[in-house]
Amino acid sequence: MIQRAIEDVGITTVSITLVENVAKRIKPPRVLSVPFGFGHPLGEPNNPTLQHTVISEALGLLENNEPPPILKRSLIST
Amino acid sequence: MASFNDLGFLDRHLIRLYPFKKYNTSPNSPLNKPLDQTRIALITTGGFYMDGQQPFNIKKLGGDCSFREIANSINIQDLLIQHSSSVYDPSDTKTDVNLVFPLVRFRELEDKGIIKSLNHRHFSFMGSISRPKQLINHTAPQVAKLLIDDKVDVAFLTPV
Repeated sequence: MIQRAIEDVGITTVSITLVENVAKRIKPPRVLSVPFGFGHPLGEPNNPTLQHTVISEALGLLENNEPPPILKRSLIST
Repeated sequence: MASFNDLGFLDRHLIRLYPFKKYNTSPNSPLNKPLDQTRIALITTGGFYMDGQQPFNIKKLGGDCSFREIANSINIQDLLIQHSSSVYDPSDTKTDVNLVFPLVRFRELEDKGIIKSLNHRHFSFMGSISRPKQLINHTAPQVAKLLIDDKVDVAFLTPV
């Protein structure tokens, strides 16, 4: 809902979700669904490589030209 | 760490019954410049606040819809957390704030020139808001306006 409000004023947004069903309901414009537990949107503490992979996948959605809502599953497997 | 399917019956049910409004369409403001020309702000529902700011109110009925500005210059070790979620255990975040609020990771992207810059401030909410009216009508649009004032190109949002 915060994401929708920001996109509404003309700013491009991208987010991470831990609960895909919630994203399907709220339909933020660009969402990366990650296979991690609550409190772990970037994967693991002190794992910069994994955190950068998640960020890179999410930022990649900015270059996706499909019409929103864009909901992609992360390629990372746990 | 708990994922949705690991949650107890009650918590799974609470999330399923959570009053998330259902939308049929998405707003769309596509990025009209290369990533290395963008100014980025981070938005999180991790309940972070800075020393000297009021902590989030975990007892507020329906949830605390307010937000805190987080200075881009902050040492992330100094960030404080107040969160009312029953399914969020912040102990791993306290070990590494980047797990939820990836400020150092984005500083690295800025240093490498992958993004142009980070905004001078970021925004933190608490989440776990079961009555989002004030969030939808007031505090989220307030943050959106501040991001416009700051000429931010991209907002990167992370939940807990």
